[in-house]
Amino acid sequence: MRRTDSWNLDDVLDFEWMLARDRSAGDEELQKRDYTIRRKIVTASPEIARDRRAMLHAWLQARREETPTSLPGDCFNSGWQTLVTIAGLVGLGLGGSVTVGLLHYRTGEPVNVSWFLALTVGVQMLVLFLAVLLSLIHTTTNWFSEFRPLRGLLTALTWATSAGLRRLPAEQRDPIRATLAVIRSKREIYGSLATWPFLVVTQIFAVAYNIGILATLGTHLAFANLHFQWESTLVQSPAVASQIVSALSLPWSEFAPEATLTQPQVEDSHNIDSVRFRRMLESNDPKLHSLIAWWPFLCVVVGVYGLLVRGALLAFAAIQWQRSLRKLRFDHADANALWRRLSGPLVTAPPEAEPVRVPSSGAPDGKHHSAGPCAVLIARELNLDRAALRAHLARRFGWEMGPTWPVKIDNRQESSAILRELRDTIPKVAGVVVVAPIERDPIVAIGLFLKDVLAASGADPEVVLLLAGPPAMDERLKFWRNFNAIQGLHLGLERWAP
Amino acid sequence: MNTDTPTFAVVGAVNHGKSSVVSTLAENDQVRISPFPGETTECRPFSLRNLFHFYDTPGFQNAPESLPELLPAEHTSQPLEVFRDFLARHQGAPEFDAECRLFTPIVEGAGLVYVVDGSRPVLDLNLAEMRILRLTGQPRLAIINRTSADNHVAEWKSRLGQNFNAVREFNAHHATFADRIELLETLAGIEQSWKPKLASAVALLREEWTSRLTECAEIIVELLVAALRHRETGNAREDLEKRREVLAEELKTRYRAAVSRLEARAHGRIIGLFGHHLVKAESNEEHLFADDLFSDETWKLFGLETTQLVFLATAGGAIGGLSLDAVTLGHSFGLFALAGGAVGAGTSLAIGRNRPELSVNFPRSLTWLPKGLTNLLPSKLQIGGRALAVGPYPALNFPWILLDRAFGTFCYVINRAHARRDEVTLRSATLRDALAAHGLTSAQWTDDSRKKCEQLFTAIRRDKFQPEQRAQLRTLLFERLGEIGDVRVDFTTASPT
Repeated sequence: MRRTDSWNLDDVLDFEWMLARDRSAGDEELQKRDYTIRRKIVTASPEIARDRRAMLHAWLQARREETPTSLPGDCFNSGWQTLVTIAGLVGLGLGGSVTVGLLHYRTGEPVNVSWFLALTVGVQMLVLFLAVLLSLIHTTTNWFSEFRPLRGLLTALTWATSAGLRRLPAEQRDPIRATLAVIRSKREIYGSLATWPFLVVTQIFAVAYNIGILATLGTHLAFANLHFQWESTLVQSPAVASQIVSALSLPWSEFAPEATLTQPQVEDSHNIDSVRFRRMLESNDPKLHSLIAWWPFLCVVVGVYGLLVRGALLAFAAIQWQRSLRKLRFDHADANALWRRLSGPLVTAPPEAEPVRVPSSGAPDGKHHSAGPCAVLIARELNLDRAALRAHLARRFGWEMGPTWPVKIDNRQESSAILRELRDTIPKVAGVVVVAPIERDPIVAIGLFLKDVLAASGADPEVVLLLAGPPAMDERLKFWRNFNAIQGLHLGLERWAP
Repeated sequence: MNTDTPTFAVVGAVNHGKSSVVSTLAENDQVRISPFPGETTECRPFSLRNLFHFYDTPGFQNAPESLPELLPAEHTSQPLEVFRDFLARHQGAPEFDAECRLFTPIVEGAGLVYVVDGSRPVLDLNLAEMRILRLTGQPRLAIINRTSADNHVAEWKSRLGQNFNAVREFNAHHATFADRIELLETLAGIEQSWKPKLASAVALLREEWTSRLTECAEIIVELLVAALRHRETGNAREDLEKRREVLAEELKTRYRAAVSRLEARAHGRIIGLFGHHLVKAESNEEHLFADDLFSDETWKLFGLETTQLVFLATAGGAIGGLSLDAVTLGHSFGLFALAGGAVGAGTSLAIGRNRPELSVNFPRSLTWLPKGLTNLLPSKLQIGGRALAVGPYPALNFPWILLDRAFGTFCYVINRAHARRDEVTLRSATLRDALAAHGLTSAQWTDDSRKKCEQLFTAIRRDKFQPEQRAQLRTLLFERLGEIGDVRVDFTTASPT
């Protein structure tokens, strides 16, 4: 059975799908549902109650059980299995076909070793060499820093559609732009996850290709007497050819000397045309042994420089994939909101009830804290009842209302002093709340201010934009949601009708 | 665009109603308007018959950060140069994209119309916008356009007064022609050098308004002539005797549909005359009127009152009887006139404002007449002819109902601001109440006008409608249309659905 905190790509896909679906659900409904799930999880395994990854994974499993329809993760799994099977089969087939073609020497001339090596191992090594070279250039000189095929594709798509998008009414344009922006932001969160499956599948193909070569070569060896010769315009001297062979067989020459060739053997198998070969066969020339002696060398070359290298790369990609899954923090806005629902108490009280008192706590415990004080930035034009806000923050986030500043949310220059103070406060707070009136229209100036708040807050405390205003304004939440996505603001968006 | 034409950039904060103002001022209901903030992303020029040009611009997105860079304009004789520098510096920068777009027509010399929503409070952000606009040094007018019940107009007025040459309240969703003219005249006042051009443009608009009313009167005259004379005929078939009722109903339906089509076409022309594309007189699914021309509801609500109808019917019957008295050289002592009047009054009283049933003329069974003789008879007589016929419809109230509905359409269209995007279906009761409240229904005309009009209807019905009578009717209708045009009828409170 899979460990409860062990995430896979299908889990991530299902998790994001569920979170996206929850965005349109009512707050109270979500609270109740997740509270029930939490109770079930904690009753079964109390130890995971404070482990965010394990808890979220257990939540996902519970939600899956409640969802009768096929989930994106299932589709991904079947698609992935199909892709892996196809990659394996195509690799095997291609490796086998290439080898059959190379070993088919009815013209009476032995197999040319140069061609065999070039088409089996040479191509693979060339591709690998280019990849390593590009990677070295990229890391040492920072060239190709903008070479991101997926990002490029998305940017090109955005550019191509932007002119058309401008012509669309905002009602259609903004959701499309928001969707594109959400894809971009998901890439930032899960970006590396997209790289490793690609590498894994290509390496499965390559491993299968090498297995195909070896299997075909082995089959031929079992049923035929294979002869090899070498010829090349570039390398004419048998001495040089022998040195190349020795260099290639360096990794195994010590413990498998039979899988290498001596210089006389290399000399004997140089430039054997069909006439000479026929004569050698007719006279049962002892040099024929030199022609046959190539096969162990070729098998090991393919095994070491093809199969072994590709296998190592496959293992590396698979490990990296798992590492990037393990590194996922699940601390983006939607996951934070879910975690709050799963970790906080379910408190329902009539509006006239006394505000909930949050037990005072010390400094937040590093990552994924859910309780503690929070810094609050309140839009100047809002005339709020602080006690009501305090109660709401406690009830909703489990946060104690900490340092509070009135700010101009549309003027980051005038708010810079406050943002400096906020930066100094960050180590002591669990969250940052910006309270803005929902009736305000989201504009670039507000977006820039919020970006500065995010920058001042750093990576750890959760930043929430709390939109305050009468319930009749709920409709406006969608404007803000689209705006947040389009502006690339990674903060939680919450509604509060005081 | 012609640079000699007065040009205005309509600017303001996001979602304060700039596009609505442009739509109404330019009489263009194709301007994109929505409750989504940031609907307008590009500057788009709109022209009011090449007399004025208006630029619809994106709303300010980052005024607070733009202002410090534009402050040097305060101390220079060429303030627009500072704005040009700003454009050169920030062209393509996403944080100033909207500002760059909205400054573009300003640096080309456009006057400024700053639109604010009077139902929202004044924010520091708006003060920054006002200051930026003042820095341009261009002539500027502020428009307070309230979009909801909240009222911050006084606050806005005190702020705007310090920064703008003139401040006007203007509801883009309820503005009439007179409101638009008033606003355009105000625009003329904010810059002396524009005054002559703007004054002549306003005069041209007034002239055009008059010619539109004349055209509208002619459309209604054409409708009356066509509808009052319309006749639907059908071939009498072998099975006439067996299917008499069915054939009669088919013909009546065809008649009603044809006259309704004539009416819808005329209404469509009236709507088109005032540049409304979102109001549909008739489409496949929807009609402008919820109630059909021949529905009982329509007949009960529109047209003349029962007493007026009785009077008209009595007079009509008496005139008919008088002609018979004349035939007897007065020997009947006016008995025919008396009888005619009595019959007219009785019939009219009995029917009241109900719709009289359409009658069908069937071919008479005169088979005993020689066929050649039958063919020689005038087709109208229908004696022994091959055709069934419905119409012309003799109901007294019919032309008055057509008239009231046409006036209703006219009244709705001129009171509908081009900024409105709702689709409309007019209910007879709503429309009648709105017209009646301002004394605009045909039943509220003076006796003299009504009598004169009825005489002209009779001439139409008798096919004796001379060109001078046509001109008379057109003049009469033009006067009524003018009266309607002078009145503001609020259909939003009368709530046509």
